[in-house]
Amino acid sequence: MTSAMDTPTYVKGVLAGVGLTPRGIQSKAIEAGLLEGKSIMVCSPTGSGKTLVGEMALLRGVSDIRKGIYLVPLRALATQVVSVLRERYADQGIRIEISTGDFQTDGSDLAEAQILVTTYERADSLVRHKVDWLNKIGVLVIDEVQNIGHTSRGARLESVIMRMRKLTEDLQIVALSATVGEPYMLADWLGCHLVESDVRPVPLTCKLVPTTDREKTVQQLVMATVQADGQVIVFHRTRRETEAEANRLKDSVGRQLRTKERTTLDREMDSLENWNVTIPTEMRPLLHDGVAYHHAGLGARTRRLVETMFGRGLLRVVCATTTLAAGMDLPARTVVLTSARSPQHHRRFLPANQVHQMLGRAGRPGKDVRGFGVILTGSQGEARMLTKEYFASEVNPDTGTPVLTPNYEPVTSELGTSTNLTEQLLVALDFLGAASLEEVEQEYLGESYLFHCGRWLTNTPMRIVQLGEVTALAAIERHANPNMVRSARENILGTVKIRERGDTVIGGIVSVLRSGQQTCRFSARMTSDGTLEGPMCSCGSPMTKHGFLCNHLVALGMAASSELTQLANFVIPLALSETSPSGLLIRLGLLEGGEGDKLRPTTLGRTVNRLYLKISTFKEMMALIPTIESNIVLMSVLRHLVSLETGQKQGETFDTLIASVASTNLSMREMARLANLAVGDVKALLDKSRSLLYSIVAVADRGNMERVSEMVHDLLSIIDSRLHHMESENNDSD
Amino acid sequence: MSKGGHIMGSKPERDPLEEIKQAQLWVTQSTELRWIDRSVRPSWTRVFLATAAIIIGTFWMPWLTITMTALALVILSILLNLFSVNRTLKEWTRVPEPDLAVEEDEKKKYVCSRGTGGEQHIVGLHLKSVSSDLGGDLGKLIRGVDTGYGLCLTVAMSPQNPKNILEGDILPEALQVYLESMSSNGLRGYMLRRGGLWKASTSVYGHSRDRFALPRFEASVKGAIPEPGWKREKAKDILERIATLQLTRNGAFHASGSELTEWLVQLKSELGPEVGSNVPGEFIAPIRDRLGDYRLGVTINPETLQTGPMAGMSHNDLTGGMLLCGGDWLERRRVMMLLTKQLLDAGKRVMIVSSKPEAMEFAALTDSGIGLTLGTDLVLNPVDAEDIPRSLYVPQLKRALETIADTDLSSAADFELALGRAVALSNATLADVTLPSVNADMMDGTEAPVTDKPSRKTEAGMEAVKVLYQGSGSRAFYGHQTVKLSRLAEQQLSVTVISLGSIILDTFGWDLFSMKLAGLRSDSDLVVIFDGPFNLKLYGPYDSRYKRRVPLTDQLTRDLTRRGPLIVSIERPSGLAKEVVARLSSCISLRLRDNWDIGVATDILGLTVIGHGLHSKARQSSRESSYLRVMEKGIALMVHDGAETCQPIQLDDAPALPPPSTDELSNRTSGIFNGATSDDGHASHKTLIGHVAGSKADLAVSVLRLLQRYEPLTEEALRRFIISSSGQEDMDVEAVLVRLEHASVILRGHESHGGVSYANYRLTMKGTMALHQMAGEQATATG
Repeated sequence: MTSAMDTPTYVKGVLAGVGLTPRGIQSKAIEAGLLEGKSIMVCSPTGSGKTLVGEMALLRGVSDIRKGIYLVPLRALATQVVSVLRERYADQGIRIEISTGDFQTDGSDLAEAQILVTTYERADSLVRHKVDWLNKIGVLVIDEVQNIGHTSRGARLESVIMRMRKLTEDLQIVALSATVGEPYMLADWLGCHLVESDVRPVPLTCKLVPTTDREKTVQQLVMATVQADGQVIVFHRTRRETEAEANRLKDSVGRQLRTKERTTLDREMDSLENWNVTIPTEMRPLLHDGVAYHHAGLGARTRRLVETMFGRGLLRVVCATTTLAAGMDLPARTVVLTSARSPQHHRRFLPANQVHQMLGRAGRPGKDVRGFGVILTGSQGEARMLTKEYFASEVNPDTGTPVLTPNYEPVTSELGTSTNLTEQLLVALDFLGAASLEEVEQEYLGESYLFHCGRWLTNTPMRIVQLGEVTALAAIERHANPNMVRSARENILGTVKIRERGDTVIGGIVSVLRSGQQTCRFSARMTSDGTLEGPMCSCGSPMTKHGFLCNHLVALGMAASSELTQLANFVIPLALSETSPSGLLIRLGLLEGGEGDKLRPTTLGRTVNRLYLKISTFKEMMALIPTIESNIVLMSVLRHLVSLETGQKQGETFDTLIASVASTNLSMREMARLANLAVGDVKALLDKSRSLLYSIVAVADRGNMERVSEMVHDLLSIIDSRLHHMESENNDSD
Repeated sequence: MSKGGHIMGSKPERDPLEEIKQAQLWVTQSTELRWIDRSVRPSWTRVFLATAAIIIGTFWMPWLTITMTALALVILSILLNLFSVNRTLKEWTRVPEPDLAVEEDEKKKYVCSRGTGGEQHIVGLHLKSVSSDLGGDLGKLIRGVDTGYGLCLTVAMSPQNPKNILEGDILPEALQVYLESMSSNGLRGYMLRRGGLWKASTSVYGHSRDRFALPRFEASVKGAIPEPGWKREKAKDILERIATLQLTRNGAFHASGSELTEWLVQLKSELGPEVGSNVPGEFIAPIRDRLGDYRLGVTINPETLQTGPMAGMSHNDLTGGMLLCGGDWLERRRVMMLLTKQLLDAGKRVMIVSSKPEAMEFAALTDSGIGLTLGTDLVLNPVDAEDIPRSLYVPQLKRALETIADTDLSSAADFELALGRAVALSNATLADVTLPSVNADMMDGTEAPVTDKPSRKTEAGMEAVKVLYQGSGSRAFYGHQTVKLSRLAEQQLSVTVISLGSIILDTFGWDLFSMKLAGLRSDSDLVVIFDGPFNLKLYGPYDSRYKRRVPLTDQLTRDLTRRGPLIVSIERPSGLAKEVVARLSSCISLRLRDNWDIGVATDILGLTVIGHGLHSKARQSSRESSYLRVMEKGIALMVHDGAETCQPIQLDDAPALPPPSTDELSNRTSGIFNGATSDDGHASHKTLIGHVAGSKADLAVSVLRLLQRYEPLTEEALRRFIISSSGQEDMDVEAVLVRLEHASVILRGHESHGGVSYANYRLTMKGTMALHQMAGEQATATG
């Protein structure tokens, strides 16, 4: 083992060998003890060189003969990182592997890798499989660690970190984060020394532009930048919009290109390097005019080609989706965000950190004096609202004009939602073997970021988690701070008259001394547009954005829980979207009682845990597997499950696709053309189908449903072999 | 001087003037008709001639005489048989116990009648002769006779030739000479100016339940018309007259038309218009009790202050709608209490709705009386139609909400649809009145085209709903209804107070109560009293808000009167819309002072008098209506349905009852509150699932068991499960799920996968209980 004194020398030597010298944030990290094995969290804007900090940590691990894991949020990023690492360090004899799919495999084939680059989910899957080399991991590098606050993926990342820390005592954690609010909170939980920098290589100017004609405004902004020899990234909500915008801008931008530039573009497209890149037919003329679109529907190679060409300055404009924003490490002079609304839910706005991450790409180091980030809004009102939400406005003393500085949100945990808690309870019990709910709550979850935030932040609910049966009282405590709950118990909040008690609704009037009365309601019904009615109050703000109920609803909830116990225990948790994690798992047969009051996972539960299935998908699967009697039914069940997993409703084209995979020798490109889908989508669908079929087989085997298992196994083996064949042909190793 | 001529002209052939042999001189005071003896005497000439003819005929042709006599006798007997009552009665079936019989009493002095009204005694007086100065008059007769007696006055008149009075000793000599000096035309004209010459006969019959009161009747008659010619008719004669239906006699005296008019025959067209400064001369003055009326007091003669028979309202008067107006609330309270007590004693049910909290004391009128206050005990749910058809209820509700919205909502179609949806739900409240969402999520994350924003009227309607649900009206209108009106209507006595402290909210509360009440089935045994109804008031002719309300008010009044008896009590009747007043057929008015109020009351009470005939200018006398201004406390004017004018009554004292204590009232009231709001609606021998799903009960059970295990499940999973379970691809899955959802056995929710929302279903508590019920039924069936 190399001595501690040698490790920094070794690392610097390796870096020097590839022509890299630590600077800026990298130097600060070294000074903070990175090469001595201290855990470091680096929080700085994009392009400040965070990745190298992670690399240095991995090299330190290698020198200590410890494995290193590099976690990235996206497969595309993993591919990018692996190629960079291999390019730099493969010659040093360092074995670098990548693993991003195949959740059903236990990863034992990765035992020899010294550095493993993987996605959050794959890492989670490896930990669930309890692969034996886990305790050899000495360095954990987490890229974009602010994703802990991601609604759907954050809980899994948090869980991975928790379990890995339990597995390895002296684990060095290097967390790389974009600029966030209150980063010390996250750093404290990770046990990392915080190295912060908000120095941007290129100063950024942000502006919100209200407009009724977005297309015209985008055109003006793009042309103003392109005509000044700049590059623009335009972010859109949907894929369709990116393609449409690219087509709209094509002619205007194309006119700005000189013949020489066009020739270079065409040469690049047809170059030997890109011989195996399938450029979609409709994209070719766009590329010819210096415009491209970038979304998950494109193949990985095509996306990489676009990124490369943009990075080299050949392309002037890229229209991309906000979903892939994190995967694109491309600066431009101007970044335009056409809509701050979330792609998933048009009524919600994007989180501030995500917006700033996108805008943060504005300003190319070495090329631009200043970067411009522009957000388009539909009205003055929306502009004012978003200014308040995303920025802090200060007045420039010299010019007297308002200057917008980004307002970053602190990263909070998403582990506490019912859906995530359900999954993580199973994970925790599988990890611990058997434990009571109190033990899980206090010993396991007590070390979570969720609880850590609860200790840090003042607006913490009275009950942070509820693993057991969710009563009305528990649901209210999850959405109210302790003082308010205490006041409600002492009837200080007001007198309550319950006026409405339906099967799915509880309503009443709360009279507050000297403040009049308010009408409140808990409703478990659905509105006409498919959303839950939830809690309502005539005070106008039934729930804060942090999920806290107003005092009137708290009073009503407490009164209902004592007067209408049974009905309240049904309606109020539903209205607040609270379900019992342990109840659901027990009902599904994933947990069973152990000794005393302990719970433990059943065999099925362990299987489900390792299959990396969402509990909601598993639930549907369990209900439908017994109905599989023919291939037609199997196809329809598979289609339904794939819809749930991918979040996209699948139609008959899915059936056609699977049928063509199972019964033809067509290439993926041809199948994509026949199914009228993008190549990337086809790949993702087939991957997902394979993993789901594998899960169905595993579950059917557990349930002794031999006929179903045989039927599914047949289809699985066909798809599996075809996919392997296609992958080896295309070498699409994402 | 010319021959044959005269300076004065030619002489007439005859001197037109009668030559008077000697000078005569008469002095007469007047040429007015005066009498010495009015008696009618037969003509002797005719008598002599008839006698002579009979004598000659008898001697000359005796057989002819005998035959004629026999023939006359036979004809007489035939006629008697033909037209007698006994013959008429032979066509009828004789019942063992006659319900009408007249016979002489034991002493054969009076006639005794048995029939409707019980046993009564009849006495008759006949005016055989009258003096030259007719004493008394009909008015004095009517007033003079006690109103406890039944009275029948018959006057038979036949016109006479004026020349009949020229025979001696009928008129004073001077007048006779004067009349004889007239030509026949002159004499006819003379008599015509005096109403003609009539031969008259007068009889008075009185009946009383008390035999010993009859002599007093005789005395009253003789005192009222002090003529010595009154003779008591024999009982036998009265019987004969009743049997032959002939109460009149031949004329016994002469009189002119004008004399008879003033004395005995007071025709309406001849009624004198001036009857005193404030005394209403044309009020009805009944002379007997009306059986079956709800007693309020006694008739009173305002001139003499003499009280008369019992006065009250009949049930028909209430069915047609009654107005109680004037006075202050305490006086009207007295009337309401009297009427309520009478109604309760008659076995009717009474529902009192008042805007005064003091009205709660009415609940003490009976042991089972209950009291409710809107906003405290009573919550009225506007979207609970209480079995009124939705197509009728929703437009009315929208109209009622215009008062709160302060705008015309007739064009607010979206709002009406939202109301209709909420009313269609079985367990809804105002919180369920919502408009469809403006934006729709698309599966691929794009935004659906934005539909039109709701109209301003719709938004105004929604704001009105918000006031009732979240604002100041929530205490009275938000939540499930605490008592169904049908339940309230079953109570013997219920008092509901609507006093929310805001005119607009009170008006809406009254409207809502009226709508629900009008929707109950017709029930004439339930009498509704509206005391101070805000919704029927019209605040001034220039208030545009309340002008809009007139059609609704009119419709409500019509529906309420159609439902059953209605009493509207209000201080100022001019505050009511005229359409409302028009629907009320009877009235009790206490003292009124305002000209507008008196104008309305005069109309409904029939106090307007036309003083002249058809072709004359109609004159309305204000003197009778001015009586309304000066009525004392305890006096009211009352008009029945159909009567042309009203009668003054003196009210009885209100029953004095101690008001019930709050605890006692709460105990009584708590028994009628609604129980569970969910409507099971299934027969006891069937299970809930069986009732809900019908023939698909097995499938429904499978779905519920699946949900019990795996809830929540997406709609897609349930659909696939149902299809595979049934084995039919074209299975109507939606129908099963809709039925189960509608019965609140399953609950529709949503879950999000990858940002896309999927509908899912879970079991409700009701569903869990339904499954337990099924399990129990199956266990019972197998074991």
